[in-house]
Amino acid sequence: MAVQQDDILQQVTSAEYKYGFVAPIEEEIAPIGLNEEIIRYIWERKGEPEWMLEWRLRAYRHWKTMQEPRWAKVVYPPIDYQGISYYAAPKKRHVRSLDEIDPEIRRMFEKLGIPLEEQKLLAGVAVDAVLDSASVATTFKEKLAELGIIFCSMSEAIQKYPELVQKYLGSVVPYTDNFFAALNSAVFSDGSFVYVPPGVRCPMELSTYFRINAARTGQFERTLIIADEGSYVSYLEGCTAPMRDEHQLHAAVVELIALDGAEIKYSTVQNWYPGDREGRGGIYNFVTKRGICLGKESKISWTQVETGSAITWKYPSVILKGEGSVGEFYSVAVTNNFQQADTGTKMIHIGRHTRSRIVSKGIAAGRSSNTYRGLVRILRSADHARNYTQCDSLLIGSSCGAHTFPYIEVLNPTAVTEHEATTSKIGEDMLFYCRQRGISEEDAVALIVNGYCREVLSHLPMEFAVEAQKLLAISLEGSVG
Amino acid sequence: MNAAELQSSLVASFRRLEQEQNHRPWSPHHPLRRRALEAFQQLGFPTTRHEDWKYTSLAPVLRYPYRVELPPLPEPAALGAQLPALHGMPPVQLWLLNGLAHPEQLPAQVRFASFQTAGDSVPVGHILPVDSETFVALNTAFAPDVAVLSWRGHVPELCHVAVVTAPHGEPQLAHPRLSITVEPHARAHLLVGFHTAGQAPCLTNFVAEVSLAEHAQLDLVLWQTDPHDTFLITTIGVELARSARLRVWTVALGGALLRNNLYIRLVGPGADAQLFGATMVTGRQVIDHRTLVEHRVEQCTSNQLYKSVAEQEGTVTFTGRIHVYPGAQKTNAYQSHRALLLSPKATVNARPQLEIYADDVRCTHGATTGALDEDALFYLRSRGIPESRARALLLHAFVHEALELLPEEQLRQRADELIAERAHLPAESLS
Repeated sequence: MAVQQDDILQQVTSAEYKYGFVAPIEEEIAPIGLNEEIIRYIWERKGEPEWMLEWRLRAYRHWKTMQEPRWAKVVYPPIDYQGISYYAAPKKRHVRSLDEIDPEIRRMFEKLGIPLEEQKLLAGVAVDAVLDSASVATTFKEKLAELGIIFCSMSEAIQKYPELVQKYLGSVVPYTDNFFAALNSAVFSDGSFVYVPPGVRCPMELSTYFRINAARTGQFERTLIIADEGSYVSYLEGCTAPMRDEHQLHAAVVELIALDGAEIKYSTVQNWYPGDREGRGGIYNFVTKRGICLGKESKISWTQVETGSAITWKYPSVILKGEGSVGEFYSVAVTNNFQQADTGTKMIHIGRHTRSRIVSKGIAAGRSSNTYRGLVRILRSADHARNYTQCDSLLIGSSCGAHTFPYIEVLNPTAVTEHEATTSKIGEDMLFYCRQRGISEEDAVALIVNGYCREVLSHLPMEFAVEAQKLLAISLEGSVG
Repeated sequence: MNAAELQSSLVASFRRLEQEQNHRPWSPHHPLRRRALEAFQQLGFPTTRHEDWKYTSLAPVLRYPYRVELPPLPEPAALGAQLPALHGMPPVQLWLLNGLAHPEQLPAQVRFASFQTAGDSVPVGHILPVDSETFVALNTAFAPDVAVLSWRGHVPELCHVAVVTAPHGEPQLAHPRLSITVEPHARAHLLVGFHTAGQAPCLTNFVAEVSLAEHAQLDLVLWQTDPHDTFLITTIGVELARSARLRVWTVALGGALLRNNLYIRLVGPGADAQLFGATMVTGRQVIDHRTLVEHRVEQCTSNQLYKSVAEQEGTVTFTGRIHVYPGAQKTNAYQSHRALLLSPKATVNARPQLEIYADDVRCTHGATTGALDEDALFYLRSRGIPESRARALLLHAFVHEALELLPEEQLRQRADELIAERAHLPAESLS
């Protein structure tokens, strides 16, 4: 186990993007393009009930009337939505036990360091692995089932728990919400589904690993997490993709629902392929993530470490509806070379005594552009709401850009909001101090950056925190001097 | 009437003016006006879908059939008595009546010229490109006059410009325009007051282009205390050369809808810009401040402090942006918006923005919104000050902070009185 972990670290610390391989897995890929036929094709392949087809078609028809959003501070050539395939899945499916999984897939996930095998019990992480469009394996199912926790792929949930899915799917992010959410609603193929019953504290971290493998495909997964009264769940998400010269599209939707007294902790380490040094290739990451604190005293906490993707367009949000509910957002976004990130959060205060806290750390290097865009909206009904926002930007090099665009809308006189932002660079004196003590310049930068991000990294679960720290170091490699 | 109808009626007015005046006295700048009109036609009036106008709807402003032709002008001498807002203010040295310039006794070192007399040599569009924004384009197309003021040497006296829009029975749209130059090493003090006289609705679309030469200094006070339900949109562009220094105070208390666009461009190393704003809204007032400070070269500094109070159903919006260009190293920029929200129907929107393309900079911004500090209130009450008075004192002190550095004693006092009046604080307690 220890050896294995060391190996992962070894892999992670070497400079170039390590997850750039393509696994030779036989895949079934839908014809290129998007129309109602394709949606029927996806629906048929997945053997979904009738209401899902209607839902998908409604979303698709609405999507056709929508315009791609242009307000974000990112520049990219127009995306040809008819030029990609909307469904790709490994051919061998319907496995009864983990041993039956295509050995190629297993080997691939091993390369990624994902503990798919059950014997890695010590890792203490239940994993749902999503390859391209389909969920390939979910571990620890029985153990979780004993507690009444449902952790399965979205397609399975649609079959087995239609009443839960019908009740909550699209309730936080309706298909009319935005362009990419509509697209996702029309073509999403899989994702994770979690339901934690009342009063249950999920004993392990639930984790999903997303991987885009096939060429010329997009990945559209959908995650739905429901925490019933007084329950607790911590969920991790990791992502990688092969290195390709072309851009690939990833448009996911994540919905979280916390009922009375429930707590959901959602952590992401996003390491999609960011493109090469000249800005060729990389993933376009257009993600809609939103949680709703429906119940009293509920809590949703987003923690994200964003190091990958050519373009990141992502605003994990919390709607604070229940009285006394709490929303948190901790983010580290690192951009290097030609990466562009426009990311932040939205905190919508509806209920009384709701509180939110935003800590965002942006790091820009190379020729990248890193933008924090966040909304804090305090509605008339949100008596005594409280918000604290801090966003800091760190610039490394003189050709990058760091931007802060907060939106603060206050409609209640008893609410208090605070927003602070700073922009600075790594001080010469700090570097000098480290170098004096024999620490190389690159290590010194990594050290300072880690210190700068500590406030956010400390909110990550242990396994992820280690990976995230190493990831930060690699992402910034070659950006100094 | 709606925005589209108003737009076409304005275009028709432009054509009519073109013919009636037979290109005189517009001729020198006629091509520029035409370009501006084209830009206006293309841009149209902004809606709340427009990012810059997200929080302020122009619908209540654009529903009147404004005329742009000049109505009969009142006598400047008589105006002084008509405008109660001028009481307790320094004497007016230049009137801009519905956009037309009427100079009175200007200080000797301040040169005055106007479009009517100087024609060609009047700079227009050198700081605010005519096609950049709807209201700049509109002003360029219609401004009947451009008043040019230039300072040479150190002028200690305050120069008072009164911008008056006087409708004559019909809704009036006025386009006053100023062009200001402060020559190298000169020092200028300028007060621009905005007033209306008359009963009909009116919209004042004011534009000023200001250029500060090397080591020049300008203290500019914008006095917006009109007691009537009028609409005012101002756009001021300032360019600062090496080591120039600008300070702007905006006292925004009056009018139904008020929008201030303040665009500062720091183009010479060592330039410094300080912007202050004191804002109080009540009733259904809407006051919207937008600032843009562009650090185009290295070693410039800027500071913004805006303090706002929203009462009753009023709305205050602040959008401030600091833009640091590539290579503008050693920039030091600060921005702060603090707001008090005092009623359950009032609204405060803040967008403090940073756009930074250089690494060796120090840029910070802060924004807070909240109610009056209960502890401070308790402290005052525990010392025998009744609650209403304690509130008024705190409110006054809060807004006053933005005006602390205002050098003109007379203006500072008058502003204090107005703020105290708004805070329901008896004037005698100020001393």
